[in-house]
Formats: sequence, C-alpha cells, structure tokens
Amino acid sequence: MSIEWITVLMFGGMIVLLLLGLPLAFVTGLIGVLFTLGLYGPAGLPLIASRIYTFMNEYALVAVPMFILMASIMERCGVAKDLFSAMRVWAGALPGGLAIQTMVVATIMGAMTGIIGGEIVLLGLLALPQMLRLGYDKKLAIGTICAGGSLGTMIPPSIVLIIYGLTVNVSIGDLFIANIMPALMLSVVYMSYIFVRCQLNPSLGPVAPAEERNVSALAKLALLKGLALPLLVISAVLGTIYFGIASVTEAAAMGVVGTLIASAVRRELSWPIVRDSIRQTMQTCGMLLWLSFGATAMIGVYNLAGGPTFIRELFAGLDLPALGIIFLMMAILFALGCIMDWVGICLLTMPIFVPIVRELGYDPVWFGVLFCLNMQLSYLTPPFGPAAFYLKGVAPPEVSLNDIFSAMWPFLILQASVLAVVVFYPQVALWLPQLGG
Amino acid sequence: MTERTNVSRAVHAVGNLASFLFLCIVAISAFEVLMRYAVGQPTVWVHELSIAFAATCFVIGGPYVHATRRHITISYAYEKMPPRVQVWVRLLCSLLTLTFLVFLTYATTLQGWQAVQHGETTGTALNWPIPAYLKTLFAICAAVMTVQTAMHVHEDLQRIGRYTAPGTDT
Repeated sequence: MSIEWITVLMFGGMIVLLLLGLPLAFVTGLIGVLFTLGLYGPAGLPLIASRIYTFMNEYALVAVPMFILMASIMERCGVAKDLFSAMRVWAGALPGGLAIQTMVVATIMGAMTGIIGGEIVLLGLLALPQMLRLGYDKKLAIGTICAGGSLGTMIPPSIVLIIYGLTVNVSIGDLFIANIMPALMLSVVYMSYIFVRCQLNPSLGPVAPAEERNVSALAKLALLKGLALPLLVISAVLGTIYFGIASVTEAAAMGVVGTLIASAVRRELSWPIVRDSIRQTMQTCGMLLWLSFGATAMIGVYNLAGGPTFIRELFAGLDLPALGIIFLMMAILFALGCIMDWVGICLLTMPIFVPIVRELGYDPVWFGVLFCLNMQLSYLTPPFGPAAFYLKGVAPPEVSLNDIFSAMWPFLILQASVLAVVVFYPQVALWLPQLGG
Repeated sequence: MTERTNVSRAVHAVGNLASFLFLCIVAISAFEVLMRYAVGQPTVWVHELSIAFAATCFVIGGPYVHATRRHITISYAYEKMPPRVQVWVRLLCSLLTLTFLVFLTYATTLQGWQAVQHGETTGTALNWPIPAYLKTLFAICAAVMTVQTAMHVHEDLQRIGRYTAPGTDT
C-alpha cells in the first residue's frame, strides 16, 4: 500500500470512527493495531506495546498527576470563592467591572491549575449567577467565563505544555516561561474587550447597587487575607521551576504539599477532600493517559510506514514561504481541534510537524506556544468545544448550548488575533526564556 | 447508566486503593527535595519509584475509567442519530473497542511474558525489576478492559433486545 493511501485511510478512518462515538483512545488505538497487522503482521504488535511502555516511563510525565492533584485540592477548598468575593468588592462602579474581575480571578486560578474543566465549572457556579443577577448581557458573561476558564492550560503550569515538551523533546521549563507573556496578553486582551464594549454600551455590564459597593477599605483588605497562602504556593511552585531549583515533577509535588498546608491553615483540609481529590486525579489520568497510549500506537505505525517523510515532501511541494507553512499547520491544528482532544492532536501531529518547523529554522519552543494558543481556540469552537459543555453542566437551565456557542465568537476572534501576533512576533514568547539564558 | 457489576466494583476498589500512590509520590518527592537541600544527600531511588508509582496509576486508570464507560468521546453526531440507530451504533463501537483490546492484550501479554522470563530490571544502580512488574500490570489491565468490553457488548445486546421487544417499541 502506498503512503498516500495509508495517510488517507488512517485519517479518514479516524474521523469516521470518532463521529460514530467511539472513545478517542480506542479510535487511535484500533487504527494503530489494524494498520500494524495489515502492514507488518502480528509480529509488529509487540512494537506498539513497547512504544506505549516507553512513553509512560518518562519522569516528566509524573508531573501531570501532581498538577492535577494540586488543582483538584484547590478546587475543593474555598480558595476560588474567596478570590471571587475579594475581587468583587474591588470592582467598584466600573461598567462591566464584574466581568473584568472574573477575568482577573480566572487568570490567577489559571496559575493554580493546568487543565481545563474545573475552572470553568467553578466560575460558572460563582460568577455567572452574579453577572446574570446584575443584568449583564448573557453572551458577554458566558464568553467571559468560557474564555477565562480555558486560560488554565495556557498559563503555566500547563499539562498541554508538559505533553508537548515530552513529545518533541524540548525543555518544559522553557515552554512554561515562554507561555507567560502570550497568556497574559490573552487575558489583557479579553479584559480590554469587555472594558471597551461596556464603555460603549454600559447596559451590557450594569454596575452593582451602591449598598453592595459600600465596603470599607479595611474590609476590602481583610478579604484578601485568606488568599495570601494559596498565592504563595503558586509563586513558590513556579519560582522553583523558573530558577531551576527543582525539576518540574518535584516542583509539582511540592505544589501539592504547599496546597495541603495552605488548606490546613485555612482549616478546610479533611479526609473526604483528599480522598475525592486523589480519586479524581485517578480518573483524569486514566482518560488522559489512555488517550496518549492510543495516539502513540497510531503515530508509531504511521512513522514506520514513512508518514513524516511523506508529509514533509507534501509541504515542500506546496512551494509556500516558511510562514505560509506555519499558517497551514495552524489551520490543520484548528481543524483537528474542532473534532479531537488536544492530547490526541499533540501526539499525532507534533512528531511530524516539529521536525519540519526545526528545518525551517524556527524555535520549537515558539511553536509550542502557538500550539497552546491554537488549542485555546479549540476549547471554544463548536461542535466539540469542551468549555461549552463544562459550562452547560453548571449553568442555569435557561442558558442553552446554542447561547453558549454563539457567545464564543468575539473571544475566538481575540484568540486568533493573539495567535497571529505571536506568529509574526516570536519575541513576544521568546524574550522571557532567552532572558534566563 | 451502566449496571454495577462485580467486575466494575472490583476495578473501582483497586483503582481507589492505587490512587493513594499519588500521595506516596508527593511524600517521597518531598523527602528527596529535603535530602538534597537540607541534608545534601540526594537519594537514588525516588526518581525510579515515582515513575513506577505514576505508571501504575496510569495503567490502572484505563479500566478505572472504562468501568463507567467514561473515556473521552465525541458524542455530537451520535446524539443526532435516532434512538433506533443509536443502539446499533453503540454495539458497533463496543465491538470495535473489543477488537482493539484483544490485540492490545495479545501484544502486552507477549511483552509482559518476555520481561518476566528475563527478569527484566531497570539496569540502574538499584536494578529493581520495575519493568517486569509494570509490563505484567499493563497486560493484566488490558485483559481486564477486554473483559469489561465483552460485558459492555452484552449490555448493548440487551439494550437492543429491550428496544425491539414487543410492548416497548413505540
């Protein structure tokens, strides 16, 4: 069978099976197994097993459950709630203030979590009812929560970046640092958008009644007290990674220790919280890792069959300038993002794309940032935007899935603009890691 | 939605037990950092043991999630299908899953058997038989998932039976 046909059958088959509703992990695994059998016979099967085994033996992968555990504990404590109520009194009489505060909270929480889901659920429970009560524009409120809540995988620590770093073999620490500026840029762009729209039309984001705003400065400060420890934990974790004191995995484990201490000091630590957190970590890891196992199997066979060379020649034959190829890759990632989970996309495309990116003379760290930004878009796009489904699960019943998806568009445009800025000005991402040498 | 069977109960019990390993990783990593910076004697075993603990959870996580059929699925098109078609599609998906898992079990069993026969060790200073252990566990988990899927096939067949049974067909 020629590599052209293998490519068409593999990816065509993948899309058909995905749409049937076969779990992603089994779709890629099945394709991997069937093509191995077809191309190399039963003797090729142990190769799949050994590839998966090698994958799960990476030390950096241990950081994944650690960051998930840290986030699970944080989510179960009252940190988010305190953060939100503390921020709310600071909103003052600014139109759209509550939405902007929500974005600030989302950004800070993004630094505590590395996965999508929990944060959107929390914001959906805390911020959405408040905004709707004040009479906020429904779409503005929903978009704020979905876009802000997705920042968790953009702001380090980020599981997306860990998997990317492992797949293409670049420093996860560098990736984390490189992502800081683009992540903050996204957050600032979102806030500016809310600010401008509410300035033009204050009825989109009504101000809270005066009696709610009348909080003394002292009371405002007191509200911030409970946040000191969690914030300290975040800065300690990120700090140790940035300054190279501990490996990413160790820093993540120490992050869990810090979170446990912080919740103990807040008198919230209990056995049920720890038990539920480790069980949730087990669940999330099971999903993530088996997804990776399947994708590893599929890309393994594709590699053996000569796929990467084929794709490289295909790209070269297009006679595009280097940036044109980058844009084409972004378009492919975006299209895949509409139907697949980021783990699958990363493991399937990056072993093929990143060598080409390196050949073109670009920095794989920069490409990792682009990938991460691209996946931000994928969280919000229909039909499979996970952000929408997480929010639907906790939103008031009058908020329909259609409302949610139609609220995403302005934010998608903002994300695409930031992505374009980072494509044209790689320094936005790269100056921070270069600063550290 | 899925009936609680003995298999899924057992898988959950094992998974819940294994989830303590996450806390063990936290504890030994903290110990390592302490030994390195406070005592100046880094350990040789924390690194390998954390990988082994994490990998144990990763592998067991497969059947753990599969017990409730919660592996990530794109259900958009599925939900648009009429219920009559859905029951059959569900069965087809279970059969495809079963195909994958049968082959995976074959591959991992072969891998595990070889590792056990050769008493495969990490080849490091400690030379623990972690690879032999993990590869065996991987094969066991793949086999458990195959059994779970076979039971899902059974469930799906029953669902089709219920759907086409006289009196329930509306």
